[in-house]
Amino acid sequence: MPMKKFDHILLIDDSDIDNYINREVLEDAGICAQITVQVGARQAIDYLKSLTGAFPNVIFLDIRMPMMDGFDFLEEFEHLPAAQTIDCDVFMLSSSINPADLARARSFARVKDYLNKPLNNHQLEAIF
Amino acid sequence: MKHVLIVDDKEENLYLLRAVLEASGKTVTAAPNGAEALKELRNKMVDVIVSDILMPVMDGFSLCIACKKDPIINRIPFIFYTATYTDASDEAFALGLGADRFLTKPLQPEDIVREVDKALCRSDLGQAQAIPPLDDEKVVLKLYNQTLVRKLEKKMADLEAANKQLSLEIEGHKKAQAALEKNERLLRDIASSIPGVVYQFVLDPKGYMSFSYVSDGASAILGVPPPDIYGDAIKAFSRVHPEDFDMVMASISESAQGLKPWTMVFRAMHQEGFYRWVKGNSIPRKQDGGGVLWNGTFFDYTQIKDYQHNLESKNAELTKANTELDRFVYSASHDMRAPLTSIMGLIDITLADTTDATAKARLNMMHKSVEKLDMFIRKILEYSRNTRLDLAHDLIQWDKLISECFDDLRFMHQDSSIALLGEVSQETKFATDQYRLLVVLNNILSNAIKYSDPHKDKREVKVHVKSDHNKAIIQVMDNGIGIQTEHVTRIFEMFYRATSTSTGSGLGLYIAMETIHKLRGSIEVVSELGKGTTMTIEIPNLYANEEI
Repeated sequence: MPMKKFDHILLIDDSDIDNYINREVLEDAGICAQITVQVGARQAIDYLKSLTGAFPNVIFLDIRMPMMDGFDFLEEFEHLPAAQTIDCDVFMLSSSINPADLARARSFARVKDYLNKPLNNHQLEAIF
Repeated sequence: MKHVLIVDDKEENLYLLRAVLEASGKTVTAAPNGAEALKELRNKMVDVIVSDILMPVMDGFSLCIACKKDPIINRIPFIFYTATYTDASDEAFALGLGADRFLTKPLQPEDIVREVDKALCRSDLGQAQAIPPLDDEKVVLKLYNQTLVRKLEKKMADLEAANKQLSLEIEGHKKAQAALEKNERLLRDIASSIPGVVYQFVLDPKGYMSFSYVSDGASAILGVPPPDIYGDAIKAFSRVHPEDFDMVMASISESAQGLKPWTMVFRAMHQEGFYRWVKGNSIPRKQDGGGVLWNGTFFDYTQIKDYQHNLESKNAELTKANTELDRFVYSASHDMRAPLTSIMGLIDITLADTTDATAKARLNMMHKSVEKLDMFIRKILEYSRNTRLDLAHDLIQWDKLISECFDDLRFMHQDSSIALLGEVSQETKFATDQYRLLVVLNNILSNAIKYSDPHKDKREVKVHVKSDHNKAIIQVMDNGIGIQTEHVTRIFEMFYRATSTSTGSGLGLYIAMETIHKLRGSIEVVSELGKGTTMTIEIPNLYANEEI
């Protein structure tokens, strides 16, 4: 079994179908040892705060989610201890093609790139 | 004390003579004409007579003749003092009648006194004028008549000349009067028939304000007829809305201080309890003596104010509607795209897991259909944004932009057999709306790739950009299938598709054209069937006019 590229990837999306797709694509790519799914931004923040094991290396973050959206998540994420988040890359993964969303995502330092759904192999090759 | 009889028909002459003579210690008796003088001479002891000539009832000459004929009084010295009979012949005649002196008005007081004293002195010494040899009464009368006639003729001539002069003057006055009246009528006509008020307003050095002229329109606008506005401006100011009063006052003093044109929009009561908007305009000018005078107008501004108000609220509504529409379009497109991307993802992972060739072929077809639907949503979004959004000004780095564009296209079309070649020459900074520019380039380049010629060995799309201070010229050249001449003019029409093999929405080039127009640019197409197509886009540089 080859060395996995990442220890831990976190998927944050309210759509079960998309989470299913994303997990499949990532598993097929075989780049990650552990994949965690959170179905809301609030849950994701709580999860990260309570995390005792390995902090995710990569987060795929949806934008449009009920209650707390992807941008709200990013604002709270920035307040997490820097020691934890410093080695974590956030990729926006959304079906929004609104340039305003793209611009807003780029204003966050932690956001590495903006991907349009659906996640596929070509995108993974391009970003990793 | 010497007694002087003064004879003159003019009160003021008598007054002056009396004052002068009394001041030199004489007793003075006055008579208004010769007849009255004779009465006085009979009753009083008179030492000298000073008489005017031209008088009603009995003139000076007749008085002198009467005196000299009367043996009781003929020794009293007689002095003529005249303003009208000034000829040498008049003097000769007078002295011929036995007068002592012939004096011409006006004389200095001291000269009068001196002459009177001289006459008195001569009389005392018995040197009075000898009674003239007026024995021939007919001769005297003839001479007298001649004098009178001469005088009369001169008077007539003077009168005629004066009359002529007067008629000339009257004529002149009449003309001036007529011109004045015509001007005034014209002015009043203009002032009363224009819609509004013409006025003249004065601020005197003490700060007192008044209207020196107000045209008839004041009744309609200020609800006060002009006569009530003339004078103290307080009556007019009492019509100004209390909330606007301070502003109006401040603007007047500002205009007065800087002698700057006065412009003000305020509310004025045109009838009890009802206000209208009024716009005032006037030009101030300094007056001699320190005041300021304005000539200006008031116009009913209510309708314009209403329009303005309507326009503002309409604009606010539209801006709000536009923002909401933009949000709605995005929201709707997102709601459509979200399940679409899920389907696409599901197809992708199923494809990856499937080895069945038929299933694979069907899944690929599904994938294409979904992509087409997605593309359609994107086009509608592009169109909607292009029609509504303001033009943004972004700095464009052409080489970077073109290479990013190529990357996206390679990713989208997954066809590495078509060579994408760029050549950029950028002289200066270039600005335009980047979002729209990308819409244009993506649509046109997508077409160039989509309609490449599968029968050619070397398929390529070349992009040449030449960007300078004024504009950018972008040439997109392909060696694709080309467009039939009859279709070339129609390819920019909405939903028009030039090939039967087209899988597009028919929106791409339409949106490209619309977007180029928004960028204030133009596009030209040259195409030859089987050879290829060249599109030349020209876009103005927005950096030329402003700083970004």
